[in-house]
Amino acid sequence: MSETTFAYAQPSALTSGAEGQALQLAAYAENAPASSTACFFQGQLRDSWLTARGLTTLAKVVASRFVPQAAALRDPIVTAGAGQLRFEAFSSCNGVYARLDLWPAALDGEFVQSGTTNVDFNEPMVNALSRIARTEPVRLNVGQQEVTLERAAGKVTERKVTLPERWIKGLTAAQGYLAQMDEKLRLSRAQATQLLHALPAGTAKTDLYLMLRGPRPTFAPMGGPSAVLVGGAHRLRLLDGLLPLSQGARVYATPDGQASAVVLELGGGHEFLLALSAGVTRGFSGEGTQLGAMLDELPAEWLAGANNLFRGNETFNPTLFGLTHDLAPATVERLCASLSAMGLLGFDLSTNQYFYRRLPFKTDRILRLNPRLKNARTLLGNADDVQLVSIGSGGRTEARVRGTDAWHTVLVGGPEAPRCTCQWYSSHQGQRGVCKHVLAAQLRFETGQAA
Amino acid sequence: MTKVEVFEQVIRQHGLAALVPFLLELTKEDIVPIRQKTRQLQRELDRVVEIKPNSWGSAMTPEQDRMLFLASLRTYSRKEAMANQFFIWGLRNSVQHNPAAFWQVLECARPTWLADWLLLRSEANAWVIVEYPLLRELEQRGFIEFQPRLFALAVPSLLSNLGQELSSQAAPPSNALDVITERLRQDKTLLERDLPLLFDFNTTLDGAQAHVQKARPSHWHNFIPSFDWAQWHVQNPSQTVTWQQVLGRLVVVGELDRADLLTRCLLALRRDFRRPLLTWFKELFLSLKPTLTERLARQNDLVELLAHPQPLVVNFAIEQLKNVWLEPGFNLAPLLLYADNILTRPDLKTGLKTLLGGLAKLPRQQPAQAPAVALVLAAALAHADSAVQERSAKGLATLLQAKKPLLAAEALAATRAAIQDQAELLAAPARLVLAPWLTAPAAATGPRVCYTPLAHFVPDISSNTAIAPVADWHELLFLTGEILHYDAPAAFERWLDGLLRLQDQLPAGYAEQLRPYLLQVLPYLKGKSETETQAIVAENHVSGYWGLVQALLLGWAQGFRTLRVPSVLVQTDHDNSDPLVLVERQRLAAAEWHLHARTGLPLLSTPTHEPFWIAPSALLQRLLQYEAAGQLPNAADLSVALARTAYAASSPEALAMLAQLQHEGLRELLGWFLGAEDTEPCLVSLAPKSLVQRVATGLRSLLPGEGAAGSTLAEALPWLWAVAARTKFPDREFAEWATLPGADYPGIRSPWVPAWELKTETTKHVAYWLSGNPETIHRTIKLDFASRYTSQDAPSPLLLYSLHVRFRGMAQGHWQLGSVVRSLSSLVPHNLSALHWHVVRSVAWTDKLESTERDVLLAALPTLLDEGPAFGESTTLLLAVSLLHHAPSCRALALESLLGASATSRLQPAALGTWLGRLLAAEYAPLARLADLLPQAQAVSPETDDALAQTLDALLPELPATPLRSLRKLLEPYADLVARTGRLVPAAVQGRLGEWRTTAALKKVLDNLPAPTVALEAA
Repeated sequence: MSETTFAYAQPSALTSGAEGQALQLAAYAENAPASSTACFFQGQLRDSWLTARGLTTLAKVVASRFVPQAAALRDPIVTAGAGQLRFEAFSSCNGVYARLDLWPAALDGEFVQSGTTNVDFNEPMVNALSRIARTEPVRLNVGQQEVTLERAAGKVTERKVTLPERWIKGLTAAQGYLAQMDEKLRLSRAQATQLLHALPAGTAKTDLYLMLRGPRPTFAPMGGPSAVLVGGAHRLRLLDGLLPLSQGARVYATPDGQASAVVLELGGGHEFLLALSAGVTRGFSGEGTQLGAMLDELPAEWLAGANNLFRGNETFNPTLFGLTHDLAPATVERLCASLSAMGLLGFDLSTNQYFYRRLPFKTDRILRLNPRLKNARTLLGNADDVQLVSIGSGGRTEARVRGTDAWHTVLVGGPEAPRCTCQWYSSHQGQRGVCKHVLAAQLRFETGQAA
Repeated sequence: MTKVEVFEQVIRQHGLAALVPFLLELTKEDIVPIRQKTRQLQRELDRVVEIKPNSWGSAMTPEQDRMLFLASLRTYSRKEAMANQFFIWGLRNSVQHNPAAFWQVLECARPTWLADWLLLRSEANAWVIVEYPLLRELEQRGFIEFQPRLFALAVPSLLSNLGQELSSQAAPPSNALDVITERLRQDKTLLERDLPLLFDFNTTLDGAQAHVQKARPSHWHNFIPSFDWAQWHVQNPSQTVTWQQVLGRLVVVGELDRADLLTRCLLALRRDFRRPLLTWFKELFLSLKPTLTERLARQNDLVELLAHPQPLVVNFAIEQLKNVWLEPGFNLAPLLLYADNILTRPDLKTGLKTLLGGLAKLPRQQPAQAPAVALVLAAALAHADSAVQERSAKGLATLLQAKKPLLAAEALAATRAAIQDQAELLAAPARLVLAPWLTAPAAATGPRVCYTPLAHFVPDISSNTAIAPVADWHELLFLTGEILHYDAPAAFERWLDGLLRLQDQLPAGYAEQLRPYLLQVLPYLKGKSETETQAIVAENHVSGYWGLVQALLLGWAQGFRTLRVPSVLVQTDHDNSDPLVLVERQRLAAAEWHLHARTGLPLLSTPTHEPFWIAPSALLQRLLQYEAAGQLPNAADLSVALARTAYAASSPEALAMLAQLQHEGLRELLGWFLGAEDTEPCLVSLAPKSLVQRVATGLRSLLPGEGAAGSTLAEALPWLWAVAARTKFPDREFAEWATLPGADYPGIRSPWVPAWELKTETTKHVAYWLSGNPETIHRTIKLDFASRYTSQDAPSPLLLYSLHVRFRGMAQGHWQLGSVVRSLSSLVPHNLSALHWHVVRSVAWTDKLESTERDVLLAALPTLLDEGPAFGESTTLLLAVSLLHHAPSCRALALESLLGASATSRLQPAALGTWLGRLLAAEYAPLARLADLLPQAQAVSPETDDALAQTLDALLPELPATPLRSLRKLLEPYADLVARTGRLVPAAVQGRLGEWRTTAALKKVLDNLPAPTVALEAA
């Protein structure tokens, strides 16, 4: 597994001073700013208690795991930009994605510059966060000048953590799902409080459907038209500390039920999003729903140009962006997929917009983080491994692709979904992204036709 | 010899004495090769081998284990150290057995990863933590730096270490607590730096303790009587010392500050720690017995705890605050702020009642707070618990009725508006208290909705439900993957139909394209040549229900050259799945024969409309196709087709086609079946068979797969009449069929309703090995099915509704039933009665059966969610036992079935209530299981409320006069339903309620039954 090592200048801490408490989040940016300013935000939290509750819940998500594996604490990512701070994290098993959004109403301070960084979430800081009182003033500093200026100094505390690539893969899949989601339910304050009460005790071994039955939110084993499929619903218990504080909640789901999300409206410019994969054994990093959109290798200058544009704008609506720049929706989709494959884009359900993360622009990550795409390209390396059989009506193309001990029949092109006779497709029926055989056929024939 | 070879020789042949100098002399260049050799030796030696005959163990000696650990310590980089296979055990063993060697090697290696490794391992396994004294020594010698989390994780086990040390003494002290406290007092670093860490980190503090008792000699106890456990305990009493006792003692002796400890406890309680650890901090706080003044001084910390997600913390905070908030120095504003966030938390009940009771008293002392308190109390009305609602309502009533008005006009209006907002959610008790401030309930104003079960069911045979046939070869090919991986009967029917229809359109060499699916079914075909594959497939014999699908696939891959389906072994003597599996095999065998003979004819039983209905016109069209092709229908196929045909949706077009049918017997049968007349069918008699015919039939039945398919249509016709009649009239008696031989068999002339009764069996267990031979009596309440026909076969294997009668699967759940019940129910969608009787007697004959039985129920219950006729007796009983099932998943699915059935008008509330009442009265299951479900079903829709009320109307009179446990929980929703629906309480229920009224616990809820406002219809 490829790793990035972080070196924090000092641990994050909640310190007391004459002006009250200050929350200093030590940062390490993989994409360190060129200027000497390494501070993204400094200012006052308008409701420090609520922010602390959100951050504590985020820490809980990071520390949680829902499959039998050792907990591996990872540090959340914070993105500053467009007048907002976004703290993002995954559970250790990568099946839960959480984000605390602080909107301008929650912050009273200065955005020195935009940026994305990892934040050191150590135990003493979590401890200190839980001790912030309701009316206590707290200053927030994300990143510090000293991080870059005094790294070699004697005071430097190096705490090395590993950033697995599955986080970047998870960010790609999570934003892909979020961008597809529709709002399914809107819960009032009282209903949000009762959300977990409706959850069956213990671990949910089967899929449950969340719905409003009369005035009550209910989890049922069978769904209806307005029900939301929630796989591994017991993971929602991560929200137990925030639900009583929320003013309301919105529940989202993808049309195919492969992911769901709950957005808690905490008031005062605070929102907390918790997205769940389709099941506890499915991490976001293993999903391949965006692979199809990444097939066309867009010209590098396109990607670079879009990257620069989004970097400047920081948020954008894909539809409006396409209209403004006269780009076909499919092209916008491919652009977004390629950039998000590098971890650069996130999606905000409240505004229906993408937001930009200032991570390194590394195009090699697209292939490296998507082994199915890589394997498909390997198949293409041998001319005989992907063979055209026929092209039917509407551009439906039949191909034979070499598999393990068998040739697979693959159908691509046309308005219908691609299909394959392989085990992956038969087992998942296309719900977890296309297989390498379909990708290879699409790369050979579809992209060729487009050209 | 190279150094690596020397190293290997030392490990294999020498001891630690030779290793240490070797490790100390390693140069920088030697590190990597020795590291690799170390790992290789570890892999090689750390494996289980047969040490001596029948004795298995590790190939590594304990000394080799320690040697390899020291080599790891010397050569490992951070990467290897942090890997999963490097454990703390090695470190502990080395320190214990070879301390000098350990410190020497450590001094030489000085690994930078040591502290991180210790932390990683300590976090990964709470049971294997490095000892605190060793950690301190490592720190003192400069091998690690102080890391709060690492030290915090190590401190709790210190107590256990001290306990072991004292126990190993020749004469353990009788005052272990004092001795341990005294030892800890000597260590100022522990007291001042490390003990406070216990309040900041999630540790195992709550479970740590010192067990002090003189160690019993391990080898003699079998020979010396006085050393047996019981006597040893008497002679050497054990002492248990907990951290709570130690900390308390340290406070008493002045080593710890009491005030600081109290504050730390409250700060620790703010954390999201494990529940037992939070309980531990709570108990420590209580054990210090804080005074009123001390609690008042910590009012902010206590109020902060109200935001905690764990109810135990919130309840604790409320309990600590309840005497404090009446004190002059208490600041009420933060309390009201925090209280606002917890008032509707469903997990808080007792604490909330205390809080609300306290808040209601406050306005008398602090009138200025009255408006805020009133709004908080009104917000609490939204709580789901009726007792909390009632407490809040009483507080509001006190405020609103105060002799000296506490609320100004504006605040009064706001409070009344807030009360009115919650009116819909109020349970009967709160509604009663707040009646003067509520407008008339909605139920009394609108027209009353009355639930009525469906009288006549007509399936939806329209374009909305039409099933699209498989369009082409590609769709058929990819559908194969779906049916091989999913239990999807509808997809399977489409696939089967596609196979038959598209047989002539398959591309050349299609079998090669099926190979990926063959590999999924038979993975061992991988690597086999085409010839080998052909031979294996030709010889392969699949079995079980899923073997039918696989047999069709294998046959397809070889062009249906041979008939495979009839020889699939779907049922054996020990197989308790279901007799309908045999019918399904006959049907699929018919399909395979058509494919083999390339007739191009479809199956008659392929559904045309969702979920499994056949349009009458489609059936007739297919029959005409058969006649045109000169083929007679297969009897099993026709039998299933009749069971699936939507006879009630017959059209003039279908009847016109009927006239074209040449076969007189079929025309007569279908004429009656599709006709609107409600006449009794005229069953034709069979002509007696000649001896030769009888012998031939008998011999034919011995052939595998033969049975119904082998019988001629003329022979099968009377039984097809019986199937059609029982499909159309599931519950009717056909009195005129008495002349038909075999018509007395259950399910033919009369519907099959197996005789059963609720029986109580008691078994007595005597524990002879215990003094006094105590007896335990187990009671089992079972549904005891007795059938007179268990040794007699049905007259024909076509009789879909009679096959279960003699089936041996009674009181024996089998996993295969769970895997096939959904598919089999699709064969008989009009009348699931027999199948459901079979499910009930196999897997729900008593409470608390195993997971196999549960899984069968979980598979059977979804069949209740489809649209269909009103539930029969067996389906209602199946629903009743599922609602009372011990598995929550079953109860949840049963609740869905109940709600779904009331929405589709399939529910029979009176029958369901009666069954439930009888089962509960017989104590088949605890009443609480049902009572806990009901609140989830309330207020879903007026129809559902009325259906539930009808169910309870029938249920309550069945319950015994002596109230069952948790009856109150059943009566509360009943009172609410009566209020919502405006129903009159029936006389039978009134009588039973009157008997229960004498019970004090029920009096209150019975008094709350609201007076009916709408008269119940006479019916």
